[in-house]
Amino acid sequence: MRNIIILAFKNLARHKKRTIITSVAISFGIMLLIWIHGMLKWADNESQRNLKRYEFGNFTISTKAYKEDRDSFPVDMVINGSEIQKIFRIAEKTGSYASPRTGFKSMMSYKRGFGLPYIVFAIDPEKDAQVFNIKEKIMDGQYLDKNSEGILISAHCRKELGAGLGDYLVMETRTKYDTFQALTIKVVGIYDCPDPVVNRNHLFITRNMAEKNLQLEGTAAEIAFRTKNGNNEPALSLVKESLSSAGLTGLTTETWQELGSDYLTLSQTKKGGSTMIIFFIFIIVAVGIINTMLMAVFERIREIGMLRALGVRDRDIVSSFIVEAAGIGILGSLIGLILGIGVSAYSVYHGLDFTSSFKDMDYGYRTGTIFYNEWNPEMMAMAVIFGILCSVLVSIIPARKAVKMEITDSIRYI
Amino acid sequence: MKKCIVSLLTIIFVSFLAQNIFALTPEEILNKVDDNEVFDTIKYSGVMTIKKGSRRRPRVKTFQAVARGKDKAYIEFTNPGDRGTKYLKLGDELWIKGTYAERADKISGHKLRDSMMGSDYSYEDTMDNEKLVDRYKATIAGAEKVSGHDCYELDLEAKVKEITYARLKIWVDKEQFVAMKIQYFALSGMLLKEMTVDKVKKINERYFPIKVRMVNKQRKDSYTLFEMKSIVLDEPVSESMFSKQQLEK
Amino acid sequence: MKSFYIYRMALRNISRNRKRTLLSAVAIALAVMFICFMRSYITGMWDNVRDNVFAFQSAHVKIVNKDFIKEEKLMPLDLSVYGYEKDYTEVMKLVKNVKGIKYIFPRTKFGAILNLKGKWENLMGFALDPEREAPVNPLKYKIVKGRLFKKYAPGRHEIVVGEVLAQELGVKVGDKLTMMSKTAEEGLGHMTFKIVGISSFGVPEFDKLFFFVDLSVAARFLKMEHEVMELGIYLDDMDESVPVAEKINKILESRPDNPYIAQAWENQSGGQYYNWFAMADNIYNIVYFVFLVLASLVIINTTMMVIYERMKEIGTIAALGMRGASIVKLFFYEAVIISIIGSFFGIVAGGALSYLMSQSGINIAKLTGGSLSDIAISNMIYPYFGLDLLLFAFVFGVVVASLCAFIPASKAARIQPVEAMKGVL
Repeated sequence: MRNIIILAFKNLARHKKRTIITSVAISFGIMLLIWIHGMLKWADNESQRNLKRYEFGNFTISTKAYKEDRDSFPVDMVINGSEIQKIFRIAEKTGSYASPRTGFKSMMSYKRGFGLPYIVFAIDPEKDAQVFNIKEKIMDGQYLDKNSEGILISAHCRKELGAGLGDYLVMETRTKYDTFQALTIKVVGIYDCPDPVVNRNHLFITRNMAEKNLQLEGTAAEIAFRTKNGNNEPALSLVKESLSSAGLTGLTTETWQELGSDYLTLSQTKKGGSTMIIFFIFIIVAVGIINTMLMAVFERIREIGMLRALGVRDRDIVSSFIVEAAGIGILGSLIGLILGIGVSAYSVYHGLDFTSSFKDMDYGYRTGTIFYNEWNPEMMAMAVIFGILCSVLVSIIPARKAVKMEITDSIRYI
Repeated sequence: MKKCIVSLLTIIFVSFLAQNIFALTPEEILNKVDDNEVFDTIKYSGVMTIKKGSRRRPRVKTFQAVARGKDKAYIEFTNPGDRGTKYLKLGDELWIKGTYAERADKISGHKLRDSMMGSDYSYEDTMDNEKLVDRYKATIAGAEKVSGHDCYELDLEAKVKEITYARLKIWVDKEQFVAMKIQYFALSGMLLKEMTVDKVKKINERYFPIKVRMVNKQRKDSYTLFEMKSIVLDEPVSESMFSKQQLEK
Repeated sequence: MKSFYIYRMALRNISRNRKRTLLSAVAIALAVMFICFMRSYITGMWDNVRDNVFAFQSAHVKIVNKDFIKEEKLMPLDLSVYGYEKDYTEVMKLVKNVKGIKYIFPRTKFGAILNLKGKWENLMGFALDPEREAPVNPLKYKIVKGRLFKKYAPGRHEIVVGEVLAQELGVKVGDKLTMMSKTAEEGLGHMTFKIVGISSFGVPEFDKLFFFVDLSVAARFLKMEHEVMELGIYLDDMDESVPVAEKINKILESRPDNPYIAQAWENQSGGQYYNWFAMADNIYNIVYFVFLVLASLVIINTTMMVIYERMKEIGTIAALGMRGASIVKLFFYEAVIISIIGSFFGIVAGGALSYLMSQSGINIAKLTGGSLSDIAISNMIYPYFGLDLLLFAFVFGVVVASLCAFIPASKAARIQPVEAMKGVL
């Protein structure tokens, strides 16, 4: 066996050019696979992360009635103050962060112009920053502090209303008791977050402000949880248990997967499209490998005849071709892997900026407009194995065929 | 001298007493306003002129209305653009049916907040059944003349939590007990809407505001003009007018 | 040596080693086939999106009320195209003779709500005149059940609803839906519709939200007898959209107090469609280029292999006095002939595949494992098929393969006969 391997590697070294060309073809394909898959994976995961970071956290607690009617943001089916305190204790116990939120459907207007509808969330700035990432996305002005009387608007809202930092907006809404409320609020901060749904619709004020002006009375429509380990479990089960043992039976939990199910089903379809692209790349890489391996075998049929005439066993000849193919496969795949890692490494930190084309657009993914890559070790492994296996498998058939020829024929074979 | 002082005291006392006897408490004023609007049945044809912003043309909507007391009302629109649109108020429920619908739909939940036919009245404004005195605590803030009428100026603060407007300011005619002007405030104290009465008519010994202007103070050039014509009071109205069958007919 | 002679020699070389020729040709054919199918798939997928956007969203040029643009988020139906004295057809007549305009379609998009067991569902309505729009609008081909709606007649209010929407509402053809909307006069629009058809555009976002009605029905529902929300204009040449829109605006502005504006699709919604298309074009061009490079590598590889293998031969003929240029020609011709044969079979196979797929469609949802079974979204992609596709793939195959052959072939001319004969390089 050792001899076979040596033979195979000698062959590889002998046909340096061919080895290089074939490897390059393979490595180019492998690199592309890794890179494109990394980007698609990023878009998908980033969308999911954004659902968690900007919309739902890991899971939320709300009343059952609120859950049923969530789309219309009711402010009268809420969790009361003492329940919130209990939930905070549960959060602490499970090592999670919890942020109470109440969304008020509001008409916002600037300078008595037309009003446009938004959802204004009353948040506890400190707690909210532990669960959501809005704070990191402030592009102008300040994030809210506990006693801030201002409002945090999105970059999109700024454009829509034409109001900027320091301007006063009029917010018209209904309080918990359905009483008309109109407030003049100063824009204290502008955020620009990569989740287009949030960017388009969500504005933020403090809970203190809502307490004073919107009859919040210490309640919250929902409490969003972010777990320490980033996964729903085990915190979710613990929270569920604690809820029932604390007698909070009117409350229910919903995970971000359930809350974002609309998006997630759609993204499944999108995945179909990207799988197709990956599949195409696989095929074309396979064609490249098959082709070069076939060539490698056919051009050496005379050699094979010679070796057999010298008494080398057929099995060993086939094995040497397999090893040789594996060698090319490994070489190509490894170069591809290194290139792929290189390209990914760059794209993980420096995204492709599509801001000019994608600004404020819903293109299906819940991501920002700078496209990054994500490390995809499973794809890297798969691509390398695929490269090697593909090379090996396609070399077997022609090699087998070659050893089945009459020696005389194969020696004379042109 | 002593006599002088006594008579002075008497005068002061009497005048003080007189004020207490003849002046009305704010609650009484509000009750009088409510009483003024109480009727068994009413029939009238209405005209609404709606203006929304400087860019839009004013729209005119006409309708026939029948109501019994405060909790049953039936409205049918007659202007070409809305002909056949019907509203039925049955206590706390509001049913509507358009010209081309085969069944009536109930307006419920937050849909009640929507504006009625694009006017500055919301559905819930029309659903108000309760008396003002039951919901607001009133104080007299002064007296003022509103479009030629001497009025009491009343400040109304909500007594209950579940209320649409947290604060009202009402100017009530001192003789006719018609609310000549009402300002609607948000919880913050910001003025939202202002209603003024342009014309009052005396029917069956009662005074009716028959031309009312509602101005949205949060939007430029936005108002609704509401006029009642050919009012008939307290004539018998068939109970079948106020049924879903009538609506879906 | 005469070219003709070299050509005959190349031809003989080809038939001399059939297996190798076959292999090269097969490699080229496979690459060409995949290029062909890939292009067909991408074009088909993209055309579908583009068609839907042009057919329903942007048209080539759109005339709307100037004020509508500002408040688009609220979809105000009173900011419509209402004509000057009588109705919207006045505007159509006014601009219809602008050069380059092929069709003008009156359309209305509107929001509507539906009471579903006490909950209000938000929907989007699209009112159009299907007969008039037949040459442009794909709606009638998107009906998967039932039929297209008819014009208004007393008591006949027919609609077509999106597939996903129908599923969510739990309705089927023949059922009735009562919807509510604000009319153009801000009155109450309230109508009971009969579902006569279910449509599927394969875009879940779209099939979930939209229903379609005839313009004459919407005119009653929304009380818009004389007005529409937009005039969709289609041109002979869609690249002319910007100058045509300018011409239309000049005519519109000639009226005093003109309330309307024409917008080329490139400029609508802040240039969003234009950017979107440009973006997608770029992405797909990159993906596509990647495929071309990969396919080219296969071809280069094969051709190089052929030349290295025949190094001895090159040495021999060089020793026999064949000049460098002729040797290059010899190999080049051979490569061209092989690539022509390969590309030909490539487009035959690729064309056949594309054609079949363009007829049957590809269900990309199924490819992912059919996890969408709870919502039967038909995610069909119909690849494109056309002669230009075949021509492109063929020319690509021949040109790339020939060019790739040129590199090693030109190298062959420069080698020393003795070394070449030894087969060392």
